[in-house]
Amino acid sequence: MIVNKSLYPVSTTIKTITSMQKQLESLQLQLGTGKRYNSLAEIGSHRVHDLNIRARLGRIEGFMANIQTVETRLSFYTNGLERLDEIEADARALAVPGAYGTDGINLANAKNQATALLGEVIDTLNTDIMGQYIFGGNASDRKPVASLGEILHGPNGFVSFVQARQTGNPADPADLGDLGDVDDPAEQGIGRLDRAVAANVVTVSEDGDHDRGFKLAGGSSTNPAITVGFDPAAPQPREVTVDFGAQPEPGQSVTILVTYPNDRTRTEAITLKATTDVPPPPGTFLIGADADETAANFSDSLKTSLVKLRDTTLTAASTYAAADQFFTKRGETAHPDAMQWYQGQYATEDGNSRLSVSTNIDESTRVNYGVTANEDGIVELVKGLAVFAVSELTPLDDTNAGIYDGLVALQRARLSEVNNAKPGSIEGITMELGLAAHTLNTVKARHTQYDAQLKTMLSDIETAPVEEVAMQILTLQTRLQASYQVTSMVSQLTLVNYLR
Amino acid sequence: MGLSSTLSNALGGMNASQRGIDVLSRNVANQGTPGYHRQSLIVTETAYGTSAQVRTAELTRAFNEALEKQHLVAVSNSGLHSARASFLDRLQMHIGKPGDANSLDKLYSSFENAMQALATNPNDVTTRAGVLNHAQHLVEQLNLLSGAVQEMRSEAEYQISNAVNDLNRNLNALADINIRILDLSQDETARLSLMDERDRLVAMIAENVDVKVTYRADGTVALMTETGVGILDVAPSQFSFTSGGALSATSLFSTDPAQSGVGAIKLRTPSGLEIDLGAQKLLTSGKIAGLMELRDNTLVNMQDQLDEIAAGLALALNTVTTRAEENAGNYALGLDNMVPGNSLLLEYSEGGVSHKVRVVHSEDGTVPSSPNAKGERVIAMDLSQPVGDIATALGAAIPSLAFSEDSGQLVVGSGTATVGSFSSYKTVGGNQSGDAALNLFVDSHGVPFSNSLDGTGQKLGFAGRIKVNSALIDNPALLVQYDAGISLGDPTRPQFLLDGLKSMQFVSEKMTSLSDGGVRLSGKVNEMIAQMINHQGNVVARAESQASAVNFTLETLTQRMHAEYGVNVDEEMARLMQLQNAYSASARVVSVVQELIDSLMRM
Repeated sequence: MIVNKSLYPVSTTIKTITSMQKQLESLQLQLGTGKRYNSLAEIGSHRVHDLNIRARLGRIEGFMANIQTVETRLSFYTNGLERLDEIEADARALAVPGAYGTDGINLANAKNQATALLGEVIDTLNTDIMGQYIFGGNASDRKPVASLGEILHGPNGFVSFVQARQTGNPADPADLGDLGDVDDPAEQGIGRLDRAVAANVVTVSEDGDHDRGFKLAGGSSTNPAITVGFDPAAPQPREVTVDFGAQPEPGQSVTILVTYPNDRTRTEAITLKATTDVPPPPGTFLIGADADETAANFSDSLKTSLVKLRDTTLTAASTYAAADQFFTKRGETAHPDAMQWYQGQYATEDGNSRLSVSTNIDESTRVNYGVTANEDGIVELVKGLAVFAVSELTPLDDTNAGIYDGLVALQRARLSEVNNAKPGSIEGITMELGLAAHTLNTVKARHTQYDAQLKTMLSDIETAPVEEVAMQILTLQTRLQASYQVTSMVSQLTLVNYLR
Repeated sequence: MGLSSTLSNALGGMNASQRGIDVLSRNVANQGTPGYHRQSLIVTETAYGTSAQVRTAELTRAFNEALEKQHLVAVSNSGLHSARASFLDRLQMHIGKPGDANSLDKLYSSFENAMQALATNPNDVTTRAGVLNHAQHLVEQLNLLSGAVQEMRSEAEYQISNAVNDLNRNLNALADINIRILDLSQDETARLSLMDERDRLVAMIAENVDVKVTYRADGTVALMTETGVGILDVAPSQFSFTSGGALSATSLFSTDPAQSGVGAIKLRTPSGLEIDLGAQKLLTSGKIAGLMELRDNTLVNMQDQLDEIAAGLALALNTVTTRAEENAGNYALGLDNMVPGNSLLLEYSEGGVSHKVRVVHSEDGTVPSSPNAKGERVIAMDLSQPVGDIATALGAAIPSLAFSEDSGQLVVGSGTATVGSFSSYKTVGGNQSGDAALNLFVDSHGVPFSNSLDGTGQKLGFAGRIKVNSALIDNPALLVQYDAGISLGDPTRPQFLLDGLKSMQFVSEKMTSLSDGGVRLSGKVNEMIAQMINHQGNVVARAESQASAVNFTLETLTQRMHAEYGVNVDEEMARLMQLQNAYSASARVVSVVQELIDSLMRM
């Protein structure tokens, strides 16, 4: 109430004292809280700066939290990828040409060791941070890779898939696999090639229009009279004819080129030399009494060579071909009979997996740090281990050693360090994440510095300078004391006191 | 000449001294009584033949009409500004300082950071919970501020009602005193104290309403407001206040009594004439005017700003913007799933001048203000009617462009004007519709916020109703999964929401009153929040500085009044000695006369 009716009005001097006391209280509060302003209105013209600085600080706080999240993730990636790199080296060590070990101990171990390593790779790829799987791009809510058991032995697993690829799909009688019907008495199943001898001409032909087994790629002879015919432009099935227009001299050779199902650009040369030794050693054919007989002998020797290749190199190549179909690079199931081994985010053919996960660490700076388990380097590692894991290599005999050597040859090429420079290799991923980490650190340093500057500015606005406040309190104290003293003195000075 | 005249002179002197001491004792006793005016006795000499007696002529009280009027103006101003300052001081407590735990800027930046974290880490349960948690804090503070604003408006009403009661009581008392002052037969002293009471009552009336006082020669006063409405002239007018009840954001003041949602203050003159003081804005100062200003402007502006912020929050997250692709000079957009408030924006240029037209979907024929704050021409139209009809209606509104329908879509092509762009702004429907937009914040009963213009407009009071979508609280995974089967690690939706918050620009339709600087909030949500805090800080600071300025004026005037009307004890004591001496002297004269008469008798 402004107009006072009930109390004696307070004299002006007392009012001044009261206001000074209030000032003193406010200064004490400033000293106690360390804050210069106690209410929104008091901040005055600094309010705009205050709000701006705080908004900026809030943003930085958000970005710093992001950076921390990314750092955690990157450290998990670093650990995971380091381990994958070690496993890659281990996988190469598994595959040493000719290293069968005493009594084939390495062969026996290769399968077990590969299975164990594959299990570890899958575990690594299924790494999670608090339930978030980090090797599946942005599909972090499910395991990016199926379990080892499912991949190998589950329905449509790799074991049954390799069998179907090699010896034919039980559900589809027309599909004879890469090896063909090995028990076919009509000799149909030599890696899906047929032979026929008509007088002095041997014809080797593919048994159908398909991508299975050996494919013919040509041939040659060292005797001009023996002509090898092949038409690369002819439609499948193609054929190679060997026309013995003359008897070969011993030592002259005939070569037939075949390709493997995992890589149709790689040719295997089957070279047979003419010989007069009886029986002819491996890799030779007996010169018969006339050209017709030589042709028949050549055909027989060719069969022996093809059967040997079928049981070793073709088996290995078929396993790899199955792996290529099974462990599709981008997560697409190319084959209806293969289970989906990769269940993470599907980055499109030219998609960069790094872009699958990205975040803002500043207003316009983004770091991309996604990794998907279906990147080339990782897939090759999985394949390399899986082919060993499904191959029966015991006991040590020529056939198993041949399969082993066949697998080794393929795997060494695929897991070679030469591939490190290719995109999606484990080393490539590690390097790209390293770049992200570098960006992160640079921006983090900038944020830290900016944060400190802004906080200093804020403190200039908001913090009560202790010295200044203390000085003000001192001054006020002096004034207040003087006021008390004078008020008390003046109040004594009234005529009433001197009247008698 | 003679002893008898000496005696009567002396007795007269004694009498005058006694009266003087009487007045003096009253002055001393009332030294410091509020509203007491120092009294003084005027003595004159009267001569009857040879005797010249002293006689008390008149009792006067110190009074300065100009000072009194100045004081009343200051009291009115002080009433106005003190009321504002005390309310706004509380308001600023609610708003908090920037960076305080309850301050909107802090809460918003925490929310934005939580969203940022979600965009980085969508598949983290705690991060998702964090977003909802911070969203919850934010809306709670908006609800709380809105509630506080409305509560203060209700309290302002309550205080107006109290002030009106005081006013009527004081007016009646004043009318009564006016009549008693006219009674000249009574004791002079009693009349003077009635005048003291009169001035006190006038000041108390002035505290509530601004008054112009006419002091009449007979001691009575007449009152009227500064705007000239008579309040008291012999018979008092009566103030009346009909309360608007508990006020909400939609109870707004209107000069049309039928439209007004707040309490009305009226003045009924003795002749029965009733004047609506609020509707005719007849009060310019005083506590009631201050309270009405708070109730009808200052606090309403605050509510408007909160509503803008709440609306910005909701719209930044739930708006699906579609820009039509050009196809052979034509632009086509589908108009399905439009809810009231959704709009189409058409930019075109005609004769080198670019135009913007916003077509807002409205189902009840609301006529929006046009152009709006962004400078766009606004047309409200029912966009749920057949597209062909819409095309016809738009063709009539914008004749320089060609509108048509093509397989259910609205097509706009160039006519004499050239189309620049054609976009639609729709509210996302459902939580898993495949759109990244999300109704994270909703209106009451879970209704999506689309800023509908229909009825009173959805924005009005939205800050008090804004809620976090309860479907999200039941299933926070919806913050990420914008469609069934979307991976929880997919950052599309969180990133969209974050981008909306960080990039969508708003301009508030309403401007604060010109007395508060005529501020319009504009920019992104965080900028609007900062502007609101800054603006309200300014309003409070201004109210406080005005209050302290008028209080200082009042203080100065009070000091002058004290100097002019107050009792100086020293002065009174000196006068007491004088009177005492005069009395003793007169008594001495009486005693001497006695002796003389005695000597005469003994002869």
